[in-house]
Amino acid sequence: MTVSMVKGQRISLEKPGGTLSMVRMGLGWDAVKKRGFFGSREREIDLDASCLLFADGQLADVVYFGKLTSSDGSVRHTGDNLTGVGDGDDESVIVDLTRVPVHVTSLVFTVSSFNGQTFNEVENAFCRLVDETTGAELARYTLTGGGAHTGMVMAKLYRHGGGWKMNAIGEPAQGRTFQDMLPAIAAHA
Amino acid sequence: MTELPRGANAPLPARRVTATVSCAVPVDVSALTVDADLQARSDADLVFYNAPEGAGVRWSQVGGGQRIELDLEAVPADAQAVVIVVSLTGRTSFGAVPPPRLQLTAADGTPLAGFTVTDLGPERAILGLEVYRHGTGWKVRALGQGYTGGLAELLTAHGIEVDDPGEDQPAAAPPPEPAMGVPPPRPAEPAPPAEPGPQPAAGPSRSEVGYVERCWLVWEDASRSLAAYRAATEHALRLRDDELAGRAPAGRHQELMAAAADRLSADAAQLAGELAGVEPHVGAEAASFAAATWLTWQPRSDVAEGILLGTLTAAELPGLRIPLVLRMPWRRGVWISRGALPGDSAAYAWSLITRFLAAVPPGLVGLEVIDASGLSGASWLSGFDPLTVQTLLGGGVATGPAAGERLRRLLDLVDLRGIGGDAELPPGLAPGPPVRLVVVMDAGAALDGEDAHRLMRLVEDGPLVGVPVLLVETDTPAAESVRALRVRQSCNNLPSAEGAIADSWVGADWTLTPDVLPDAGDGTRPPSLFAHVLGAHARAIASYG
Repeated sequence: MTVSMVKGQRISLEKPGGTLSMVRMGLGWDAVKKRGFFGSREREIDLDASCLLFADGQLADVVYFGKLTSSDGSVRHTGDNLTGVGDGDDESVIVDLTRVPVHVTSLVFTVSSFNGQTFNEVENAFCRLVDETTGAELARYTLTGGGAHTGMVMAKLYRHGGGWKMNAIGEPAQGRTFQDMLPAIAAHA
Repeated sequence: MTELPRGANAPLPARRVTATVSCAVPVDVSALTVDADLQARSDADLVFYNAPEGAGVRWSQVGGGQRIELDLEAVPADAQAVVIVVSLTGRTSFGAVPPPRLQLTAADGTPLAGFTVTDLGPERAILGLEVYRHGTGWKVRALGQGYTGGLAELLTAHGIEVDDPGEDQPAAAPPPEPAMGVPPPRPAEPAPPAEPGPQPAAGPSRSEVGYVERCWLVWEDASRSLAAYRAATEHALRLRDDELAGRAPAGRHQELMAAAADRLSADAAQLAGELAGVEPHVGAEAASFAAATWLTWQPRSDVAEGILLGTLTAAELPGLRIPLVLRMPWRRGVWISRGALPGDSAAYAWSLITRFLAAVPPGLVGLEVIDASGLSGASWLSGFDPLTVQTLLGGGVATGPAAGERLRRLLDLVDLRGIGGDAELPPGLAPGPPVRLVVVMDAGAALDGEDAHRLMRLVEDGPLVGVPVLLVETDTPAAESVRALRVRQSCNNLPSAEGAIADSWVGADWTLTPDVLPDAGDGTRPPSLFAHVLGAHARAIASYG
């Protein structure tokens, strides 16, 4: 089941007959096309996926290329991809929702362009949310053509009752790392 | 299990298999996917410590041991075989160390094939096992062919472009295993965050992992659980302040504290259950000295996975006792700190030495005990029968001038092996087993003495070439010198009595209670279990003729 995301739309991650336990954010893009005899003089495109953990609006932990696992182990980054070479998801952040610490009330997923190229310059860039237990794609965002931005606050997972809900944000931001985008992110935490 | 001689092959019924290597010195394990001409098709066909994932091939490491997991269904159709490669770091050659042993196991742990690679000489990297297509299925063949130029030469010969085959540097060192209890550079500063070990992929299958790995995974999970608990309770306490000040509605603090405590106790119960499921089946070397398995201990025929150091506990996790198991062979030196009583460290040292011997086949390891001052009370070692003293104990404890002499000879051995000198012994070193476990008593004084720089080199270079080093701080406390700190930072640091140790994932405080022989006393009398294990080794060696 693929749900196309409309800005601001809320999607409950609770499924009839079973609760969602493992969610993966995937981020993919295509590498810079090499041209010219002497090879490309362009910088590689390096998009980064990050996940920020908030406790009642305060930043509690971050998972990004510089810290691949949250202190509690519930959020894991599969590692930095510096070029976008390869098909499908180039970077993934896997969240075990059953293991997220009790005080963490929301998780915010972001994308940022480390070398500063805007999403207009990146080909086939997308981010998506996948139910890891079934492999079903829950939501997908196309980043390419999204404007002259270097960052995006993609989506938020937040506690609701005993489960988790997702809020599609899709808000553009400027910044090469999640730190640059913290003001924009905190507004959604 | 099929025991393969060199060149033999056997059918492989399983489609998911794991290759592991047992060796007296640390080795790197890699996998090379090849075509019908035994050539790699691209650099992506090499899976090793710098590229842990390939099509159908996965490399992993926990606490020092490396393994290759194969999913043969996922190996590309145009690939003919996957070769398991074993290589040494530095310039040591396989001729200088005891034969490595490769083993294939099925996903459920069933051993499928074993291959002990004997008769190696100057080779520094070998093609161990070849898992190859045969008709519609797969077979395994024992290759045992090697390259003197090491991993770089082997890879080049099979179509991989190697960036820097530099002879002099041990090229790309594998990721270090987490050091234990490395002391901070200055007493006032907090300990630097130790580099976390490689993370197993999310949700590793617990049924496939060995005991050592499982203990480390349980420790990691418990540490992360503890970190989550501490973060949650800290947050809750901040909320309480807000609630008291009227800035937040009351109730959330209580609710969070209860939820955090529930989560922690549920985690602890699950981890304790996991340990309870495996602890009854471990060998003596990894079990407490109080365990019944010591009563039936018999000399082993291979190197055990690891030895027990003690038990880890945390105040917040009253029901959980995690075994701290050090993987064999040692990749680093081991430093035992002075305890509350002068004899504590010596007693713990003899406990570890007993386990070390119990964990290896007779004839593999001999002891070299250095006690310059002769004050550590280890002179009883020379009281064993003369043949044992000669063959297994390096001729007895080296004291006085002989201590410096023994250290120099052992360093000669390390240097010889470092440049690939085969089974030769440096002049002046008594013949003995290939692996020499060097025990330095009163290490604090030794690091202040004139041979300190030699000791430092021995600690840094010895473990990788079959000369593991155990440093015991007995009488003289180690000085706060740069040299002493450097040596301790290159070692796994252990307290000799109940002491604090930080985990390498989140830096939480744990209490390590060393597991010590009940009759080790202060190290001035031979513990009966040590004598028993040593005697069994001596008898086994004598029976080989």
